[in-house]
Amino acid sequence: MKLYQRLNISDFLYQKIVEKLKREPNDFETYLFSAMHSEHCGYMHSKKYINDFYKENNYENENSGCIRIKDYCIFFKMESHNHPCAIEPYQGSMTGIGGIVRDVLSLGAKPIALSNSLKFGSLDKLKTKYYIDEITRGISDYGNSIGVPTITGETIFDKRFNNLPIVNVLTLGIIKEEDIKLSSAKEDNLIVLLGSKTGVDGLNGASFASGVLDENASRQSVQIGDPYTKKRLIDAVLEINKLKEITACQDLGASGILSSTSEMAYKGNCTVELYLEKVHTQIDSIKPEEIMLSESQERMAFTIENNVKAIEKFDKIAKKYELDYSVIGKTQKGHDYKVYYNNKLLCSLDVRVLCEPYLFDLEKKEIKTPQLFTKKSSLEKFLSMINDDNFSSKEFIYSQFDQEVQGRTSFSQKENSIGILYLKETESFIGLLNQTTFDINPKKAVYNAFMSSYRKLVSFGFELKGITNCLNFANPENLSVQSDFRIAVDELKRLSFLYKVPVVSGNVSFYNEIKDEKIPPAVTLGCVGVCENKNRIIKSKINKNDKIYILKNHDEIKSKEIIFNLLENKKVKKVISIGQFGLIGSLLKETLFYNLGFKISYKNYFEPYQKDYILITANEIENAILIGEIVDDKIIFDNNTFEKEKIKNIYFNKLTEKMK
Amino acid sequence: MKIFVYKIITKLKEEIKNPQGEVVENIVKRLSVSSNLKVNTGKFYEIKISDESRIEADKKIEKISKEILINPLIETFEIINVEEL
Amino acid sequence: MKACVINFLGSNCVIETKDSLLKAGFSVDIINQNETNLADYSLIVLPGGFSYGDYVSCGRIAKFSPVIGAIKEKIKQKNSIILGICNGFQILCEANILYGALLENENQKFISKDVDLIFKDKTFKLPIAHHQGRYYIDDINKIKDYELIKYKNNPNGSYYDIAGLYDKKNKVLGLMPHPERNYITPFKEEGGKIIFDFIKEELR
Repeated sequence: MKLYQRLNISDFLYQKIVEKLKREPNDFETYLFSAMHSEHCGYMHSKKYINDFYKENNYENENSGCIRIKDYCIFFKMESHNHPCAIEPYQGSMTGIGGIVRDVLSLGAKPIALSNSLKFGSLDKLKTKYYIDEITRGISDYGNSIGVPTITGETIFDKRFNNLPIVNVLTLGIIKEEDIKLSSAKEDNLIVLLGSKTGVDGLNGASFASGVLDENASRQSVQIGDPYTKKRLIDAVLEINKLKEITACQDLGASGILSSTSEMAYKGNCTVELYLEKVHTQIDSIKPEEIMLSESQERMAFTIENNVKAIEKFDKIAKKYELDYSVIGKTQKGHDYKVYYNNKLLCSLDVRVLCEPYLFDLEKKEIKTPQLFTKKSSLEKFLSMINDDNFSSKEFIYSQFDQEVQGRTSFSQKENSIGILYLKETESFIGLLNQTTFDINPKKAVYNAFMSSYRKLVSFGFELKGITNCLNFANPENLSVQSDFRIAVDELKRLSFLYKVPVVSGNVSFYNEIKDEKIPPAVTLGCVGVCENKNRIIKSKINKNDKIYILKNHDEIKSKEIIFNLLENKKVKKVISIGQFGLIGSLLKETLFYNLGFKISYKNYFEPYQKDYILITANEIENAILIGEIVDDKIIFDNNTFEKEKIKNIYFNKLTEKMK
Repeated sequence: MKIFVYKIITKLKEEIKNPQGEVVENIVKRLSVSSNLKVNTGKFYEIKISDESRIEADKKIEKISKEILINPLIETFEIINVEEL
Repeated sequence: MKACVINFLGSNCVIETKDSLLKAGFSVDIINQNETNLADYSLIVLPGGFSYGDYVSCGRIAKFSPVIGAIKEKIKQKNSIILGICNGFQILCEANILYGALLENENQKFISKDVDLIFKDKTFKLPIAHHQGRYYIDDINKIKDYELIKYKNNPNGSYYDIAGLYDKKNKVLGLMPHPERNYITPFKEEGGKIIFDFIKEELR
């Protein structure tokens, strides 16, 4: 077996590399190609389709993209960490947070919020409980320790994720636009590596995450997280990036030194020369190709002006935070990627060949999906909702995440279905939420996720201003997966243009498959809303005898204006958008939070993601339909009556009991 | 210079409620393996130290254990093994 | 009046603690763990976070910082208040500046939630966010002169429902809940005032 075959490069792709290179790569180069031309680094099955969303010059080619408020940029990005979490959930989820934090940090932005979207299997499985415990603990231990609040999130239980937990995490950061550092290297600079020693942990993580999981997947491919070093690294990078001598900054994620230095060179149109013996390493016996591919965590790379003074300034900050660093190379005019080890030249490649892998075409065929109708009475529907684990309170998960560190959190998931941060820098509010919906038709799933996020933000007084995404799919070599992927992406594209909402960043995770199980298309959206008018945000308690109205929604933008008006004039106590469990589900969650019930008479109680809004108020509302009122201890719709206490107990305690 | 390898365990004092231990006790009872047991949990440290003599090294390890590895109000430590390399 | 916030490596509540002290009317310096000159300060704050990653035990490594020795000297002069919040409280206990110890929560999980507290006949809400906040004391008589901050519904198994304590004699206040998180943020501006007003009163 040839080396390239052992490194999981297909014969087809190897041929493409030889054609572009006009020669066979040597062994060392083959290692580099195995990582850079993997799905994880190269986005080879998706790149042709994910670059033409609606945009507003949002730095979308950087590690994360942004929206702007006044002279500040709010960078955010979501990323998947599914493969590592499937085999080593604790370390996998820790390093998932670690990785996504670096994507906003590399621009110089201070990370100020986290959120997550977690998809687990059925709670009846012991393995699911293990995944929940470990993944929650990983996010908790890492996110809490580095001091970034987890202000919102979603958790979904579905048997299709029994052996394939989906872990998508989002970071949001803030920086003044003039202080941003980009990732394009400049000529005649030095390359500096800061942070943890490079070790053999997480070796080949990129090619590992680019294949279908098999049961013997090695735990060695998993990186080990170190939140204390990360906390110091964050503080140090924020300080270092203020130095004018720093010309570029890039994080080390998948394929470590290799991918970060080659991308800096590629984006900056220059040559990079690396001297691997200079890299500070965990063990002496580490091989050159291991240094290149190691995914040891808590490292960042910089290009810095080549003079003593610049290095002195860098040195001072690194020492202050007790961090190691090494000058590992330099940049020049040209397009080469050269690597030396003890004066021996190991490779000399055109960086464009390294960074431009072969891109696949995906097929798209419109599918007709049968509409499924179930005939169930509203009593049956209510009971199945109450007993659905997806309806129950997820407090046992989110109470493990610090939601208020940094003191910016006005509302977290403790009280709201979106997280709300106050930005003192711009005197405005940010509303954040994650949303995934499922449907046989991926177009409808994306539509529902997008529109329900849009409406949920509106209900809290926020306007949707930017989106990031994680596109989680099964094997892209499968034609139906290709088609699902393209349909989902096209729908997101259509909506982003229709509502002029830029998709500022995103991530694709393919190969979520094990044996004959595969995940359904799971498009997770991370949605950021902005509110610059404090009067529009309401904190008021719902009381007995408050009235419940329905605001019919004929036009999304018109409805938004009506709701903003109601909120600003304090005409309503609460606006509720309608989610997965329909009108009843959304209303019930809200009233149970205040330990109250309701009595309503209307229609379509359980239809998910309706366009209309629920209003709760002590006032009369014109042009809205009065459907009932808030009561003390009953839940009543039509002829159905339930004791609130009993429902409340199931809602708040069921999952905690199940986890025992 | 000699190199010594110390293996040290630290644990909560017996009188202090140890939830981790209780979880193990409960599962053992639930699985009907035994109904009569008490579980305590702790941490394990392996320390390599170079010194002139075993006596000097012992003194330093004693100090490290007492002052850094435990809080004497709630924890105890025990050196379970020493080896000279 | 002048206050300082000690930024131990790994502390992560420094900025909001500083902002809270500013709102409470102090002028504020951020100092690091190696600072030993505390002469200027009438309030010295050990903030929340994960000093040294809390890697051996919460607050264990931080207690060896030079600033801790300086704090012990400062206490003798009786002209200042020492405040430890969350990790700061853990450090104060580890350093024997306050009596007691903080154990892992009874449910063995990190707990982030709002709790009802009772302090000097007042009840108020503050958030807690910790993994090791179960206050332990071997003999309650050892803190009989302290004023206690108690949980209304004990969230973590703390002995005697203790959320925090104030050693009047030495003017040292330590608590697990975060007053700085309910003081400066819009829509969350209430519970912290009780604590910061109390400190100002004690300094009068």
